[in-house]
Amino acid sequence: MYYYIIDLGNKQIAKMKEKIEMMMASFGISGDFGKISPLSSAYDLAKRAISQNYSTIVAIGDNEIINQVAQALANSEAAMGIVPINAEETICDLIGTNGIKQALEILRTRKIQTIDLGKVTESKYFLTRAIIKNNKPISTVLDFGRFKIGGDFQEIIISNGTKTNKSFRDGLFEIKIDKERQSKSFWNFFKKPTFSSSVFYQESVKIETEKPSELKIGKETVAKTPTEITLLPFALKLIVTRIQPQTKNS
Amino acid sequence: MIRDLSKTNEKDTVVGENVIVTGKLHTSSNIQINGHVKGEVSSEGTIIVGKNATIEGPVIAADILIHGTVKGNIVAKSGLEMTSGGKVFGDIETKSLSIQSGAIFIGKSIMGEEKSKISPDKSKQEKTTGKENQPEMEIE
Repeated sequence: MYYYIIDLGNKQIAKMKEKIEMMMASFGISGDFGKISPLSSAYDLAKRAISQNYSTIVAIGDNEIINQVAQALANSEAAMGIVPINAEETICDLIGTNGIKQALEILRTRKIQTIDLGKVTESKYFLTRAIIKNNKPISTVLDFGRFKIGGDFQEIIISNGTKTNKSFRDGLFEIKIDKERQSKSFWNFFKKPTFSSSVFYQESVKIETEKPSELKIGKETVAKTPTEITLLPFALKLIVTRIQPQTKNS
Repeated sequence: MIRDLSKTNEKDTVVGENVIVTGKLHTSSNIQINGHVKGEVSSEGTIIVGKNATIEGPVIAADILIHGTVKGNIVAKSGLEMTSGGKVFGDIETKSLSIQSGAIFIGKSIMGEEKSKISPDKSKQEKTTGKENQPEMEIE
């Protein structure tokens, strides 16, 4: 039984709802809709759907909605589906498409893969990334267990799968640390590349900062430093394409 | 020639400039060091020590390329290259060694297929009977 979580407050999605419902009917995957409202977040709706024993809970929308549904479904028996609308490339690559029709076709064929999730607190998980952004570089220590790194950092991105590291099943985070936030301005294109960025692949990290910094998943602040982020291996059942993604060399 | 890590998409670890690492940094993939490491660095792939980088501790990898400074013993299972700005204060064990003019190497080197004689976690090496260079060597 399918349960679709949709944000009809988003005009683009609201316009498409009827068309999406028709496609669902034609694929034989019709189900119930949960509509996001100020009183019911995507997370609340997904939790409710789990308690009502829906076997498949589908997030229709962007990263924010997808991450909230993933949070609710961590370590649950229900499978998660994604119909990406304005979602980032990493998520589209993960399920195997960025198209609505193709995403519904993937739901119909129902190949389930268990993937890793990031965990910040007992109830805060993330599918894609958690971020610390400071206004200016501040003194920070990241403890990876066998080694620690220290320095003045402005931005720390803890990713569970990125454009280069596409694996959500490798038991590792990509942790990217920047002394200064990278701006994508036109003039920066001509600047000499700097070597101030650091990248580590680890399964957990403790972060301490000189002053408390906010750790965000999407727009939501989920913790303040000092904090620990760990990886929950194979914590989410996700419906993905049956077609093997082509590698660059193939 | 040891390859340039910036052109790969693998899970390469990068230590940025102005970053201090303390402890044992080990990965199965490549490591690029541009900052300062106090402790052991080991990789099953390639380690590149950047121009402004300093490592104070043993370095162990298949291939090692040194543009910066290493104060510690080095075991490069396949090959080691030192470019003109490279400085090594410690012993080197490798099969293939390339040192450019201008590099500084103060220590002993053991080359060939022999079993490891350099203890990477000791600053002083025990007496060996293998092919050894002079104890102190400076190429400028």
